Amino acid sequence: MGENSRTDIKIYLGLLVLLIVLLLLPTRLSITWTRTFAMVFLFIYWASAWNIIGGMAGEINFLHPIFIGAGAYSSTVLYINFGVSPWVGMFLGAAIAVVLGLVIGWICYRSGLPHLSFALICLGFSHIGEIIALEWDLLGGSRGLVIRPAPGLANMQFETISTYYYMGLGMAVLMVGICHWISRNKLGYYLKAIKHNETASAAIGIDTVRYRLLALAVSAFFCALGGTFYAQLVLYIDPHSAVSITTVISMILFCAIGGFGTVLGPVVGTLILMPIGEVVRLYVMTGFHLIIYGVLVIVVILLSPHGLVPWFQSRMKKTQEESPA
Amino acid sequence: MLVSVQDITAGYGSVTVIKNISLEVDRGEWVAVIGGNGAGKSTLFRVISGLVRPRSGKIYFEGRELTALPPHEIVNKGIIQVPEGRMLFPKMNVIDNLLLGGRNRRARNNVNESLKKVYDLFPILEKRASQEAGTLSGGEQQMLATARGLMALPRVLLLDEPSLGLAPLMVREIFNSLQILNKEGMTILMVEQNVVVSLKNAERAYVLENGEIVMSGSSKDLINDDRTKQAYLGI
Amino acid sequence: MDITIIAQALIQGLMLGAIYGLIGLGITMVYAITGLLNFAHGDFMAIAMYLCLALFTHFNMDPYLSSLIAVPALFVLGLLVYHFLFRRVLKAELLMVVQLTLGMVFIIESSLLLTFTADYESVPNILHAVRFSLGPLSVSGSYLATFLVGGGAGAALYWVLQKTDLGRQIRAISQNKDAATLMGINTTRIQMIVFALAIALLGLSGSLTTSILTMEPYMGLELTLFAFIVFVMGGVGNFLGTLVAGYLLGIADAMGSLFIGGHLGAMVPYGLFVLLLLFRPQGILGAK
Repeated sequence: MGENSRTDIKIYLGLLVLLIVLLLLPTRLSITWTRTFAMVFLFIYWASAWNIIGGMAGEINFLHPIFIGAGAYSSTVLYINFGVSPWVGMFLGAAIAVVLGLVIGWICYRSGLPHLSFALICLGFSHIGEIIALEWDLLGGSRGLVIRPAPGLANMQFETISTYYYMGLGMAVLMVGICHWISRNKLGYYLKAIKHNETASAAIGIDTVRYRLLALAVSAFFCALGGTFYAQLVLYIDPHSAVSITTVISMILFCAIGGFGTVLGPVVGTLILMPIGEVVRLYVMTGFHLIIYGVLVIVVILLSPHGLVPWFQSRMKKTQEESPA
Repeated sequence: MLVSVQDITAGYGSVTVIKNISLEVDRGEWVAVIGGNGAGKSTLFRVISGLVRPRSGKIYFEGRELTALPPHEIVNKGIIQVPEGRMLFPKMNVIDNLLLGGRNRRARNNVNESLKKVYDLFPILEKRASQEAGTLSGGEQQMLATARGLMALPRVLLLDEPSLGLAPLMVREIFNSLQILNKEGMTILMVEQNVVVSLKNAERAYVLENGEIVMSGSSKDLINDDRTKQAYLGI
Repeated sequence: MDITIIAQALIQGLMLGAIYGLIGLGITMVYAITGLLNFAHGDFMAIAMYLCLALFTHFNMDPYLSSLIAVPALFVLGLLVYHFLFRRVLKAELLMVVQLTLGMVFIIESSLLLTFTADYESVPNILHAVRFSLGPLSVSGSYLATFLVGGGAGAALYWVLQKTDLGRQIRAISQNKDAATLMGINTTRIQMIVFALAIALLGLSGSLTTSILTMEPYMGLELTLFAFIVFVMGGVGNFLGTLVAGYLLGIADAMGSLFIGGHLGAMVPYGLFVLLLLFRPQGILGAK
């Protein structure tokens, strides 16, 4: 136990240093890179939110394009058409995402669908979501929606890009904190049990449907809020970017590299993959970065199937066992 | 020696199931390995068939080493296992199951004769030929499993718990057929929980306990041994 | 609505359905004997179609002729991918396999994008302009060829699975892998061959449909989705069910675009799938 907490302290110290570096970084970064890092933080936030249902509960869940889309479109439509502040609109989006998640989840979990069928239904629903965004005039169809720049706190638009940077960083830290809290609490333990063996979990009295729904709702809620932040950062959304299956696949791959179901996995995976991807995208070729993601994921899975964080933890454990203090 | 198992240690993950097992089977012999649940009998057979790689030790067949061969090559040499729980192909009919048994390199040119022979030995199978294996009774399934093994033209037949889950009458019928085969020269290595049946039929036996061989000898000697009587026969 | 239009759509649906069944059968076979699910399945069909496009632009080669290159090329590609990647994750948990293949999705789709740009493409074949009529009904030659060759290949494969030694080996592995090994079946080899065969089928499907389906680099995931839907609808691991589900999906697809049209019409197959899973989760021919 003592060794364990010592490892933890080391990790938290490392995180603290990282956080301080990240807080000071914008003074040194170009606008492009500040913007890129705002996006990296958003993906840490999204991937962590996905990790609650995908990693902790072990589902192959592809519903998140719908959640992100619900957030992005709700706040944007309300803002453009009725002048409602995105700070308010984002909660409507989150509420829609939670309701959609609960309805779809309730239908699927109740009938005890096997993992694969569930994954396919999710993909199907996400595809339907994309089509709805394409077809519905209110949502701008394939042309998408443009948010006219009008900086101001009430509009969730900022003069300097570094404000987005700090907001993204704050969201990422908050999300990681929430994941940490969940993993140390009843919900986290139950999700782990469900992931390990759903039938056995039900047999010892865990209401598996209820806790999976709860996890899905939390995941949907935060993903949707991130969707609003995305819309305000880019000031333009369309079906291909805001209801994008590529986005959820990226989130899954980031978690995979870092380690599924671990609190720090999504952070590590995103922090490694996305900056590499951005360098490649900016200086080599757009599109090539996805190839790099793909290759890295395959390499990591073949070499360290459970991801980098569990690999690192087992390494640290080993070195501690070898050199008893 | 036809089969010679030398110093085999094997297990799964970090668990060791069998330790330093050595045993031998001569041509035409019927040898039994006796032991309770979890003694490591099935693991021993899985190692001989190549489904599990041993941690150490070697297995020889006619003086040639088997241990490095992939499982299908071991089958091609004529070492045929009738696995525990029968492991039939439940959604295929009896004929397809038998044909699969007879598809290894040594057996495939002899399929029609083999089919005739197993139908002679187990006439009920001919009646059930087009029925799905999963719908047969327990006894019929054991017959089919044995017949499927015979289709492979075994040079040594490995039987894993042939009496498991069968009514006494059915056990007697199966073992009568095995006696016929053995008289015709078939080499049999069998693992069994049923000590009485084993010692009545096999010429020699090894007693396996917690993954190690604790006793061995001719069936006659073992049946009269006080330790066997106490521990296994309950007399 | 005129009855001939419905009949026309029905025919068109059946013809596309032959291809959906064929793509799905590949997934079913691979799953049955390896337990692997390949999310990059459809992307291999995209590779085949772009191969036909390249052969057409550079050598003016008819896609039907290109199939003679595409099928063996994809078979070899399948062997390589299986040997270097899939073989290594046979015992890993499902989620790992999913990620591995999602990684492949990114690699293939982006490579196609960088090589061929995001433009929509299609390649005409020799039968494209030919129309066959029967009374009021008429069908394009390329659809008919797709149906005859694709449906024929599906039926032939089903026959192979049911009646030949190779088929018996495949079914044996799918029912009990250890027992199959004890029959002297080289399961490793069969698994590799079946995987490559499934990919080769995509070579055939791809070269047949270059004039029917519009090519774009990201088409693969949607094809995979269709293949998975067929796979689950047919009753996971059920060969005949997969073929039947393929035709059903083709008809749903054609009816959707006839009666509703546009993007909304394209939702009909998904709707059918969701409904089916809610009321019959084990699929059309699957056992409970």
